[in-house]
Formats: sequence, structure tokens, C-alpha cells
Amino acid sequence: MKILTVDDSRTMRDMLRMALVRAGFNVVEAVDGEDGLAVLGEHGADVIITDINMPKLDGFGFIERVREDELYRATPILVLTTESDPAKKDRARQAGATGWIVKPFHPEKLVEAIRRVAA
Amino acid sequence: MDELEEIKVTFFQECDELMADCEVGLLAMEAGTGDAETINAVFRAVHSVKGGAGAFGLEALVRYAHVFETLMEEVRSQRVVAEPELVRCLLRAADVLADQITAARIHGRPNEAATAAMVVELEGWITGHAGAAPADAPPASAGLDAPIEFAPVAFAPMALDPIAPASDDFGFQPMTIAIPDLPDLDFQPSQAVMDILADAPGPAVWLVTFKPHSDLYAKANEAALLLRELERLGSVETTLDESDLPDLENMEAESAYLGWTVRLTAEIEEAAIREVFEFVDGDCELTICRDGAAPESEAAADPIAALLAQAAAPMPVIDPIAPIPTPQPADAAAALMAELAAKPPSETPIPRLAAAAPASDEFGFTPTAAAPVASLPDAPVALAAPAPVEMAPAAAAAQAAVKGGAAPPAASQATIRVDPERIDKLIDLVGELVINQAMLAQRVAEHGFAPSSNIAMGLDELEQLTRSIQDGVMAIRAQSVKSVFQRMPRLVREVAAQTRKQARLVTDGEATEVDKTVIERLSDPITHMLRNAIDHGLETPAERIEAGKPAEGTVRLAALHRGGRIVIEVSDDGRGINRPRVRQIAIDKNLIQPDAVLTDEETDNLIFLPGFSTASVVSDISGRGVGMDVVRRSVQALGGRISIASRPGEGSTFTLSLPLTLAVLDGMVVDVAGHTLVVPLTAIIESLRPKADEVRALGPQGSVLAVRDSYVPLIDIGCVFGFRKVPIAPNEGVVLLIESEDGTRAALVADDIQGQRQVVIKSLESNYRQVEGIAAATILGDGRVALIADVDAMVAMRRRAAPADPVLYAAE
Repeated sequence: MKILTVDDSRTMRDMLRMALVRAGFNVVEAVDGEDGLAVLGEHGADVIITDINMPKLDGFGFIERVREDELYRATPILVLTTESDPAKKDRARQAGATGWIVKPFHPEKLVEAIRRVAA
Repeated sequence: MDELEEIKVTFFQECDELMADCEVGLLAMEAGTGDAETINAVFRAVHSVKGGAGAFGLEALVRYAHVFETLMEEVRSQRVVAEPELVRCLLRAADVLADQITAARIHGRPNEAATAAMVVELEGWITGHAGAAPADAPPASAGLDAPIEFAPVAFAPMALDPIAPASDDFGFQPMTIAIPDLPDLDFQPSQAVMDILADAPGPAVWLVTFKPHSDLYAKANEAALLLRELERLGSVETTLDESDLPDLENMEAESAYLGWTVRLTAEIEEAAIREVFEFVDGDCELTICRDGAAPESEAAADPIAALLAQAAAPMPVIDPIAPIPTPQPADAAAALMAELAAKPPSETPIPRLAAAAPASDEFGFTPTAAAPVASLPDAPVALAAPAPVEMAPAAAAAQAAVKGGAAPPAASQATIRVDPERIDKLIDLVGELVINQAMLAQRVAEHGFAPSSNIAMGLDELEQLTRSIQDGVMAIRAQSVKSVFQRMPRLVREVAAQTRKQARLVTDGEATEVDKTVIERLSDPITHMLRNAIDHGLETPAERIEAGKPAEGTVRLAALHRGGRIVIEVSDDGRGINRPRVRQIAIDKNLIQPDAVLTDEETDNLIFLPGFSTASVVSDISGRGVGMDVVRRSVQALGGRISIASRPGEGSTFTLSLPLTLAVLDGMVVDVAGHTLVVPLTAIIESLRPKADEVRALGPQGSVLAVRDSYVPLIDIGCVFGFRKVPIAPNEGVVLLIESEDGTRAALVADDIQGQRQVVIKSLESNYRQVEGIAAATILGDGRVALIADVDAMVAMRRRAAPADPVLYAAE
């Protein structure tokens, strides 16, 4: 299963990659929403994990744009966030997010969240 | 180094970048040039620091960053106005954050008093607006080391302003638990949890009815997967409810018609079931009840049961914003207390509750959580430890994709991280290659091959290739001065505060690249020059206003390439050098003759003379006990030059110039009294063979050379280094016209010129010791060692040997 991670923090991308690769997933990465769309277009993805606060195109905008694409309407999108604002989570869901992972995440929890949204 | 440690190193590198972004943004805000995106960028920087710190369990850092982030969020949402005073506070807050990061990196203790004071200040800005806590609240309740408050207010966290300190405390403590012990994904429930579990009743039978709305599918959730998750919890009997399924012609593809009832037998609490449906909350009809019990509505979830299940759930990465049905431990604990107070004991199974309270502590607040942090091996501070070549995102993504059998993507923006030691080794090797190539060329010439011969031409090509390789390798190690410059705004703030001056730093040319060996040596002189500029250069605000200047002084730090060197300029718009005073000090200290005639520039540069600096001139701030002469000497040791120019009342400019690399040097190889010396090409304006009538005697020993319309003092290189006592006649040798950094010209007399050559610099200091007038050494093509002359030092030596011939200078 191929997972696209979108996060402007190198640390967080590295953490995600380590946890996901160990769990047997393939990982492609992007550094912001715009990059995420480009990488998605180039590589595709079975599951998308995205940060919210990012330069250029933030997580909300990214999710909306992904959902606009017929090809990815059914692709699970997990929002990765430390946001202490429930409105953010709601907004992400309105944009089309499938679920969320709260940072800092435990690898097991991450895998569990993926399992809950992807076959 | 294991993978996690490598990521930690990355984290600290990223922190440096983030703090630089943060500072740039705040300074833009301070200058009034920031926009919404600027504030966003600062917010993101602090937010990312917090996120990464949370991943590594750096609690103190997380807590502080959280307070900072909260205020930035207020500013971002315009609930707090970014007035100048606030921006200054944020700048100081960023400094404290940088200190915290450093402390975390070196496993040191941050300055707790400074941090606590900063937190109080930040909280003041936050609460001053939000009114969620009294402005004079003690710091303990403001986010650091706050005790758990079992205040009833926490019973309904949703109703609270999300930034209220009380909820902050509860919201962020649990972050400490998520220190991933990654190599294996085992999770050992704590004893407290085991106690609860032991105390829990036997297998329960749950009835879960679940009917998705079409929204559930629109968000890419999948009912089948949720049912599968339920199966993982225990044994299930699933019944399909297809009663809403219309006829085929009435069926809409995007609508949801099906529902399920699942009879689940499992030793679990309700919250574990709810967790399965966490993502689809609101997008489905869901009821969960014990078989036989009346269905319980979602909103009325029992917080105690939720708490217990939460405690029992493996690895509770607790969401600080979780809605009421799944309260976080601290909130739940508070809820629990309220519940206890409200309900008669008969309604509440006391023994389980008693077990529950410590359980929440277990996850959120106790050393259980901290233990894995302590067990992490010490992280290396910098890149010094060998790190494997690691791929940046695009490349890594490509790698992952390739592994997965996908088509190899174009790695257009790929960067690689390489252990610097490997590059250093490569540069050394290329240096050897250059020397070897030169030796080979010399042997070929000695054997009488014509320059047009195949072998000589082949060697020419080899030389060009060697040069290209060398340039290429040096380019790998080149870095922009940004890394040095970005540390300076803080210095300026601190020095300005100490000296009660107002100073604004303007930087220019941050992208200027220079070899890593030079970058490392730039920081100290720049620090010194900046301190000097603020401490001595700038006037007090009152003096400035009196002089018709803005109260705030401007200090400009610029980098540029000039003539194959990097030039750093530090200029201020202050009072300029007090020349009569400098002159008097120089006379008092016997550095110049009382009747010496000096140009303004020469007077200014007296401050670099050894023995000039004293406590009365250089304050502790400027010099930290080090005089400008020491700075100049250390700069000269690197083949660099430093000088100052000043305009009274308008300000001063320090100019520092260094070679672009400390690895190689383009030089003129000359013969002097049987010795071979290398004169750096950058210092040479021209080389010439003077005619006898262009040389004029001056005084008993000196002589000058007429170069076009001016006279330049002649310096015999052999005499300077003691190779000979009597200078040779300049018209019998070769003259190198040189210009030193302060603009002084001189004519160096050598016996003959061998030619221009690139030489590999070998430090004399590290192999022998520092010698005045000699910058370094090198190995020539024939294998001999040659010394590289330091022309500035030679001019200075000559000037000191003949201090009483001011006419020389006047003649220019």
C-alpha cells in the first residue's frame, strides 16, 4: 500500500516514514499542499496523511483539491495535527478528511488509524 | 546511530532553520513589512518546533512552545493586535525558545527563571485579551509545572476558551506519553491499567447498531472497514439491515441505504467501540448499548466508562481536543471528581473509580511516560558523527516508490545530506591531486618535452580537469553566510539592551556563499564588530535625537564577493571615530610619534594596533576583554584583512575580507634570496620590472618607486624575512605592486617570478607555529615546501621598522 505524507516539517516526515516503512507501507512524501498535489499526480497514493499548517497550500485547501479530483474521491485522507482547536478538525472533515491522527503519534496508533480507513 | 536518533539530529537542524524563519518573520513584523503570511510563518515555525519536540518527549520545550504558539495563534486570528511592544516581546520569546532548544539538544537545563518569566509575559498578552485567567495569575497556573486542578470548570472543556491556561495544562501533559519505543511496537499496560482490567467484569455483550449517512462515504470512510475493526475487538454476529434499500430504479449511486447491527462479545468498555467509530462521528447513526440494556444515546456517553476504557486502551495518544464523550484523562479526572461529588455513592462503583484516578495519572503525568526519554542515548550535537547519505524528500520518495515497484519518478528537487567529513576528505584528496599534477607537469618540462608535444598538451587538459574537479568539490562545501547572519539579530538586541541603545540590524547579501572552513571563522569577528558598532558607534537615543538623527540607530551587516574574496561590512550610523582621542591614546601608548602625520584612515586604523585597546576604550561588552588587535590578528591568520573607515558624526564601517576558501589559493610564486615564496594573487595589482630612474632614495635606508603619479614605498621581501641584510636594487629584480586591505599600497621586491600557480594551503600554525608575515605554507610541484606571504603583515612589519618616515604616506 502506498501512502503519501504531506508535511512541511522534515522531522515529522522522517518520523512518519520510519513508522510507515517499518509497518510495511510504501511512502511518498511532499513538503506542502502544492507539492502534495504534484506528488499525488505523479505517483498516486492509496492513503494520504497530511499536516494542516503548511505554507503555500494548507491542509484544508489540499484536501479540498484532492477531493475535487474524481480519481481520489475515495482515497482516505488522514489529517495529522496537534491542533488544540476542535474547529480545525471539523473544518478538515468538512473539506473531506476521512480521519485524523494526533501528534505526537505512536506508530501503533498510526497504523491502526490507517487500518480503520483503508482496506 | 539508530534511525530515531538520526531523526532527532534532523529535528534539531530543522529547529535552527525554523528559529531563523521565526526571527525573520518577527523582524519583518517589527519593521512593519509583515503581512498575514508572515505571521502564519512565525506561527508555523513555533508550531513545528512544538510538534517535533512532542515526538521526542521534550516536555519542557513542548510546554514553552505551546504557550508561545497559543499567543501566535491569537495574533494570527487578530484577537491580539501585533503592536510594537508585543512584537518585541515575541522576539524575546523566540530567543528563549532558541535557548530551550539548545538546552534540549545538549541535555542541559534551560534557564528556568527566564523561561518562567517569559511564560508569565506571554500569558499576560494572551489572557489580557482572552480574560480567561486573571492577569495577575501566578506563573504556576500559567502553563509550567502547573498542578492538576480538579476544578469543576474542566468538566466541560468544550465550553472553555481553548487557550485558557487550565485547559492548556491538561491538554499538553499527555504529550509526554508518546515517546515511541519504535524498534518493537510492544505496549505494556501499566500496573494501574492492569488493576482496572482485573477489576473489570467478565466478557460483556454489546449491541452496536450502525447506519452510515452518505457523508460517511463522501469522506472516503468505509463501513466494511469499521465492521472489520469491530471484529478485532471480539466475537461478532452481524445482521444486515436492508429495510431502507429502495428498488433498483429508485436507487441513487451516492446514497447510503444499508445499516448493520453487530452483537459484539468482548472484554471491552464502550469507549473502545466508540473509538472505532471516531472518524465517522456525525456521519452515521450509531447506538451502542449492552445487550439487554436500553440503547444509550451518543451524546450521553458515560464519562466514567469512557475514562476507564480510555485508560484501558492500548497506547492512548490522547487528543487534547477530544470531545466530551472521550475525555482525556485529566479532564476525565476532573469530571470524575465532579461526578463523585454529584452522585450518591450507591450509583457509582467506588472501587473502580478509585483505581481510575491513578490510571489517568499513569498516562499523563508520571515517570512511566518519561522513562523511554531517559533511555534514549545522547544525541550528537551536530553533524560531526558519521551519518549515512540520507535522501531528502523527493529522493526518498523516489526510493520508496522504486522499492514498491512503481515507476521511478524524476528526482528533480532531490538534495542529499552528506557527512561533511567525507567532503573534507575529498577536498584533501583533490588538493593532493593538484600538487601531483603540478609535479608531473614540472617533470615533463624538465625532460624537455615541447609545449606542443602530445604529452604536454595532455597534461594541460589534465590540469584543466583537475581545476574543474577542484572547483566542483569546493562548490559542494560552499555555504551561504545566512547561518552566521541569522544569529546576529539576537546579539544586536541583547547588546542594545545592555547599553541602553536602540539599534536595528539590517542585513544584506545573506545568500553570499563561501567555503565552510571560512564560514566557521566568520562568527567571532562579526560578533566583535557588531558589538563594537553598537557599544561605541551608536550614540544613546537622547544624543541621537539631539544630533538630529532618529533615536534608533541602524547597524548594517552585509556580505559580498569582491575580487575572489568574501567581504563582510559592518556599518553603523553612529558618531564615528573620535580621531583626536584615538590619536592621543596612540601617542600616550607610544604607538606613534607625537608628530606623526596620519591620514584620517590611518588614524582610524590605529585601533587595531597591538596594545591600543584598553578598558577605557573597549568596554567589556565590545571586546569581552579582547582588543581589536586580537581580532585583526585572528583574521590575518586566515589570510584575511580587517579595516575601519569612519566619518565623524555619520558613522563607521568595519570591513572584513577573507579568502573564499582556506583550502586553496591562487598565488604568484617568486624567488627571494634562494627561497621560494608564494604571494597571494588577490593582493597583487600588477608586477613590473622598474627602470632605475623610477626608484628614488628616501632617507638613509628607504626608497620609493614612482608608479604613474604617485610614490609607493619599496619593501625588499628578503630583508623583511631576514634572508638578506641589504636590499637588492629594485631594477635588478621584479616588483609586485600590492594593495593591503586598508588601501595602503606597497611595492614588494623579489629576485624573480616563477609564475602563477594554484597552491594547496597547509596551515603553518597546526604544523609548526604562527610566524609573523607568513600566512601559511604549501607544497610546490617539485615537492618543496614554500611559504605563503601575508602581505598586510609584511607592510605592517615594514611600517613598524620605520615608523618615522611619514613622508612616505604623505607622498601618496
